[in-house]
Amino acid sequence: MDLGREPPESTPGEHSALAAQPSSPSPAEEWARKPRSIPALFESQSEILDLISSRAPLQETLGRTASLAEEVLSAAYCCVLVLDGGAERFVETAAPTLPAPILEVVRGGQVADKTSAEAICAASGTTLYLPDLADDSGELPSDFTKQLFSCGIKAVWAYPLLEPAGMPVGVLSLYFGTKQGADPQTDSVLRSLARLARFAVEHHRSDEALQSADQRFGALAASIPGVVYQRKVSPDGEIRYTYISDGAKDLFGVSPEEIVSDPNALFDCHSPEYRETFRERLLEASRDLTMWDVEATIDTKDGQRKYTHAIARPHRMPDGTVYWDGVILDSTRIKEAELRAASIEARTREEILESVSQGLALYDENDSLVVCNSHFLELSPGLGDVIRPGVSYERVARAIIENSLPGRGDAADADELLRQQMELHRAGGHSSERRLPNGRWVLVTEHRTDHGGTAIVLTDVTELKKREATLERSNQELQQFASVASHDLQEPLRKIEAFGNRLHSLCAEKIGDEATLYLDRMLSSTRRMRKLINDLLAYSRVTTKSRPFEPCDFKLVATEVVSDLQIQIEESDGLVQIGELPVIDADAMQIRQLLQNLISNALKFRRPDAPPEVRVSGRLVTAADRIGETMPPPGDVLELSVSDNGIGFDMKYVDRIFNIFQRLHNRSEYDGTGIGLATCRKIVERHGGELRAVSEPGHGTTITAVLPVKQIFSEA
Amino acid sequence: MKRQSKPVTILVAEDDADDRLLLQDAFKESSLNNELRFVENGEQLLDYLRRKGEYANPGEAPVAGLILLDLNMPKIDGREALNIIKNDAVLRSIPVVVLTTSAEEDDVFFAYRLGVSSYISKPVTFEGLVNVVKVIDAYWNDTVELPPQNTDGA
Repeated sequence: MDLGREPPESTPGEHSALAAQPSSPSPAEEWARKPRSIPALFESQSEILDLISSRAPLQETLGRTASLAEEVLSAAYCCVLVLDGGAERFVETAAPTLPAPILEVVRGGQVADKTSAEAICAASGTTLYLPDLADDSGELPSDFTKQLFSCGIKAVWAYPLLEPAGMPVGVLSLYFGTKQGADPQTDSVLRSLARLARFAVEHHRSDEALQSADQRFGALAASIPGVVYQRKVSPDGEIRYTYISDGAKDLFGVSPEEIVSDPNALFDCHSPEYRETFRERLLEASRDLTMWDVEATIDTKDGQRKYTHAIARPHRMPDGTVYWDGVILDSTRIKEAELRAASIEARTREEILESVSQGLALYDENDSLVVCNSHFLELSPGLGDVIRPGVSYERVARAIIENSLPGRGDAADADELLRQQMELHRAGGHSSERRLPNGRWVLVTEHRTDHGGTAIVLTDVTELKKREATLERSNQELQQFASVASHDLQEPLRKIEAFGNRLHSLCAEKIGDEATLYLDRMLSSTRRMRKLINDLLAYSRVTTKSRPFEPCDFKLVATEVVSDLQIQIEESDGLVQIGELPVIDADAMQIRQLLQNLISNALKFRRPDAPPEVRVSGRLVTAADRIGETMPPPGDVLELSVSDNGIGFDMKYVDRIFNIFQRLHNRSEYDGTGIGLATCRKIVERHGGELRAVSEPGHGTTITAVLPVKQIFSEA
Repeated sequence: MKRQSKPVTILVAEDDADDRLLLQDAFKESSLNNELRFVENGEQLLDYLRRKGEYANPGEAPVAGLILLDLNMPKIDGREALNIIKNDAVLRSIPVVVLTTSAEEDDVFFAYRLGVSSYISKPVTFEGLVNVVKVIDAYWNDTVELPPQNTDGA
């Protein structure tokens, strides 16, 4: 910029383009003649400043500037041009009076082409003075000069509008109808107007930039699902929103303006509890300058429930005021999805819990009740007030014990019972039956869960108990009936037999052979009935007259049985061999009966052509050897076998031979009641074992009793 | 072997008339000349032994040297009567043979614990009964010295 170049001396013009104003004095001289113009100039300048500050359109401001210049320099056209951002061409022109042909040239073309005085000025960034175009015609393109001449222009001045960094933002130019040398006063006035113009342009540009930044920010804020805000917490505790984006309308149903003017408009959307604590929390965070991260529930005026998540960062001003810049996000959809998922989970859990017929309760690893179903409550009568989520296991256990003690009596008893219960509980699991105050029976099963909690299952076993009791009673009655019936049946039978004997011995000769035969048959029937009754008694006594299981020497028992059966063995010319037999847990009396029945059967069902040979043998089989065997009993067993060389039987009857009263032979062939093997089976089953038979007609039979070596259960 | 000069009176406590008849027959069959006296329940048995009630008149109740006792009887049953007899300072010396259809172990143990002399199941045949009577005779009449018959306990 050539600031050192002085404007040429003003010379009187020869002709003027402004024919109506053929004046030759310099503008300054004009001012001098019109002294009141100076205050008018200042007034006008302040008018332009007003236009600028009131953000009047740039065109208007610049037009007014140009008019002012023309006003001051009465015999001139003024033109204000604004360059584009790259200073390549003019984008704005304010030339209220400039003749159109000149305006056309000035406005068009690139700065770099230097087709006009303004272009030259903008390109150089320096003031251009052409006081006499006739002399200075070389300075301008000849086309432009020609155009100027045709319009009667004799002189041209052009001031670049330079921003502080020296970049031209526009040009203020003047066209004179007379030759016009620059005088310092005029120059100073014009420079001041050029500064005004530049200020207007810069102000306009920064306004535009601000506006576009605002727009970008607004667009950004609008794209957030929620609002952006700034709030201010004054040292005296006053809370105000200095800014809140338009989203407030959508989120809260309240306009940003309402919130900015009164923050209660925003607070009122929140629940009373939130409002109560909000202020305190905000003041505390403002004091500590901690991040604001708060979730809230709001109920909008139109009745919608929404969930928000606010995040804001504080910064403190020197005066102690704290500004919070933040966002409030609409988390309704996320929250609702969470709530839906939680409710589905809760419902699913509820449905599962309620779909089982048992009472279920779950305590966590701290013995605090997590959940229980309604059956659990039903099976815990009187405990509805105690059983609540979070209640301790011990508290519930105590309540159950206190409820179960008659008359809520002895506290020491309750303490002791509770102590025992807690011991069982700590041991990790147990199962017991409990009688409820309402008379029902509940099976309580408790076990430790994988996570160290406790699961409790209550099963109503009242009906089961009733059936059990009924069954037991009916069983007892049956046993009693069998036993009593057998006893009482024996009495008259004994008499029939005794008197029959008397008749036989005293009167046989008197009544004759035929009557004696009848009498014999009668007595034979009596004997048979006695046998039936005795066998039935023996059968029923397997359960009624059982003894505890103790180590029993099978060899000894077998030997004694053989000794008892000596007569039968001798009569049949038979042979009974006893192999090695062990000592295992059993009821010796019953084993004796078992062996007696089996050996006696083996002797009885002999082949007519061969004397009976019976072998009693035992084989211990360990559990390991029995892998894959599905038949009971489990564990180590004794296979006690009685084999014979008798008549045998068809295996198709194998399932029937152990049934009571089941016989395969006519009584005239082989006498019997059909109770013996049934008794054997009952004895073996009472021992938790199993009776098996293998046979082949004509080749003998092997009956095997599979008996557990160890009796786990004390009594069947 | 010794033979007592006068066979003792045998008191039979038996509620069953048939059994009483059969027992009588069996004694007859065995040619025993012991006097047989019958009572039909425990109450009568105790009255007889203590000479009370219908047995109060002198000569009504000859001193019993042996009691054959059935366990199942009305009013006071054999078990209860046995308990009373064996806890009575005077009566306890009279030998008691339980003759019953009951073969219940409980009854057997109970009887022996109270000090009965013998426990015999009623045989089912008459011959059996005769044998029992013969055993009683052989044992009680021939081999055992019965306590002196001091009816007044003096």
